Amino acid sequence: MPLFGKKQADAFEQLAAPCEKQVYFTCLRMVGSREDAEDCAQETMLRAFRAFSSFRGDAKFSTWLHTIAARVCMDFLRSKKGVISLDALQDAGWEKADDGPSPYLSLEESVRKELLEKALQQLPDHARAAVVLCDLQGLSYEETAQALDIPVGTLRSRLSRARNALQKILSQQAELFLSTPRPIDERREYNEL
Amino acid sequence: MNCEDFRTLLGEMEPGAELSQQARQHMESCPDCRMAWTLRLDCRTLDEDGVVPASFSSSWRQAIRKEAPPMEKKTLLTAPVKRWLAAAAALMLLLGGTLATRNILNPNQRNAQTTAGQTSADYYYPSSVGGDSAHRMQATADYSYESAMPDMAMKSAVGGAPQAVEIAKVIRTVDMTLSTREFDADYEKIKKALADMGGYIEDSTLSAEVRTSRYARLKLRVPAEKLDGFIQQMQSVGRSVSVSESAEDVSERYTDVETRLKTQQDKMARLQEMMKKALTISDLLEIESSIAETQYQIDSLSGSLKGMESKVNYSTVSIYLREELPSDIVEIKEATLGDRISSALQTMWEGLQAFFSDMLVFLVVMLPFILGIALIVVIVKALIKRRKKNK
Repeated sequence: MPLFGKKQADAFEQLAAPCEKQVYFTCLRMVGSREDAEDCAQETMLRAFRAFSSFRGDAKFSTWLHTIAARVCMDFLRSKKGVISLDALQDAGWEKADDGPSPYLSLEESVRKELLEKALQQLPDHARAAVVLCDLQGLSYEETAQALDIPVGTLRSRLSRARNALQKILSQQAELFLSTPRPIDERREYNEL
Repeated sequence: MNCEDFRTLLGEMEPGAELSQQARQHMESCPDCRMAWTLRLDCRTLDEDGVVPASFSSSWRQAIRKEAPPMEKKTLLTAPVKRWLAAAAALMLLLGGTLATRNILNPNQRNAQTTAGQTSADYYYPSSVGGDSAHRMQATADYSYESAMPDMAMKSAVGGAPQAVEIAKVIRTVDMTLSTREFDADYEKIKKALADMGGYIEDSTLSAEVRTSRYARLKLRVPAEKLDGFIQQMQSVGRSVSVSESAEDVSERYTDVETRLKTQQDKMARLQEMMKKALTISDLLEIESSIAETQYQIDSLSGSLKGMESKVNYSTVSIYLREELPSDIVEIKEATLGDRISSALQTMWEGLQAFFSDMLVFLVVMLPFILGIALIVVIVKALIKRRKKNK
C-alpha cells in the first residue's frame, strides 16, 4: 500500500539513514570534491525519494540507492567533464582516524589512502564507478553490475583493468604497499581503540 | 600458487572474503601480489573512518520532507482515481455532446421539426387507426360543444336536433377526416347524402394522382336542422378518422344588426316623408344625400343579416376523404408477450443504432477540436518536462 506525506518521508528516512554514509562516500569517490559530493548525494536522496513509491524491493534498498547514486554521479561527471580538479581532494570529507597503537603504521596507512584517493581520480569514470561500488562500498559483483546497468562479465573485466591501472599508478610508491597487510578486522580494532 | 593464480583468485573473490593459507604464502614471497592485496584492503577501509558532513545529513532529510506531497491531495486524487475520472469525464462529454447536438447535427430530425406543422396530420394518422380513437374524438367534440352551448345541449338532448335555432342563432361548423378503401363509391355516397338532405357543395377539390392515394376536399353546406342526421350518415362512409365540431352563437350580433337595420329603415321612411315636404332645392339635395347613405347602410346590414342567416341555416361541413393504400392498412391484433419483447428489442436496437450514429457524427465533428486540444496538451507537457529536466 503506498504511503503519503509524512509517513512516506518517515519510511524513507528509516531505510535511507543507514545508507547515507555509503551514498555520500560513493559520491565523494566518484566526483572527487566534497561540495559536489554533497550535492550529488542530496540529489541521489531526492531522486530516490521521488521514486520511492516505485521501489518494489526486488533489490536491496542500499543497492537501489547505489544505482541512483552512480547515475547521478555519472550525469554530473558528464556535465562537468574536465572541470574537476584533483586539488579538491585535499578537502575530501573523511577525517583521519584517531591514533592507533602504532603511530607509524597509522601514518603509513593514511599516506597510502591519500595516494589511493588521488589514484582513483585518475581512473576513467566508468572504471572508477566499478571500483568505488565494488571495492570501496563492498557491493557484490551482481549488485554492482545491476547498479551500473552492465552485465557481470563486463563488470569483471572492467574491474580487472581498473585494479591493474590503480596498481600501476601507485607502483611508484610501491614500498608503502609492500608491508605485510593486516586483516581488516584487526585494523578496525585499532581504530576503535 | 603463482602470480596468475593469485590474481585470478583475487578477481574471483567477493568483497569481504579472506585469503586462503596458500594464497597468503604466495603473497609473502611476491611483492606485486602483496601490493594488489594491500590495495584491495585499503579500498575497503578507505572511507571506513570517514564522517558524513552534518549539513548533508540534515539537508536531505529536510529536502524529502519538503518534497513529500500533502496527504489529502494524494489520497483524494491518486493515479487510478485520476485515470477513472478522466475516462468518466470523457464519456460524459461524449454522451452529453451526442445528446445535446443530435438535433442540430441530424438533418432528418431538423426537417421533422421544421415541417412538424405540415405533417402532423399524417403523423397522427397511423396512431388513430381503428374506430376507438375516432369515437374518442367524437366524444371530445361533443363535450366541448356542450360546454360551450349549455342551453342548446339541453334542448338537443330533449328534442334531438337543435330546435333552438328559432331563438338562438348558432353557426355550426364540422370538420371530418374520412378514410376509405372504396374511394369512388364513398365519394358518390357523400354527394347523394348531401342531395337528400337538401344541401349543396360550396367547394370541392379532387386529387387522383397516379401511384399515390387519392383524396377529396369538400366544403358542403347542409341545412342546420339536418346536420346531425348528415353527420350520422357520414360515420358510415369509409372509416371516420377524426371529427371536430364547433358552434358559434351569433344571436347577439344578429339582433344587433337586425335592430340597426330596423332603425335605418325607419330613418328611410322619415326621410321619404321629408322629401315630399321639401320646399327648396338645397333641402332636396341634402335629403337625397341622406337617403343614399341610409340606403347603403340598409343594403349592407341586410347583406350581413342574410349572410348570418345563411350560415345559421346552412351549417358548413368540411370533409377530407382519403383513399387508403394497402400499405396503410394495419391489422390490429392482441400483442403477445413474444411480440412485445421483440418489439421492445427492435425499438431498443433502433434507438441504439440512432444513438451510436449520432455519437459517430458528433465524434467526427469534434475530431478537429479534440486533436487540437491533444496537440496543445502534448506540447505543454513536453515543455514542462524539458523545463524540469533543465532544472
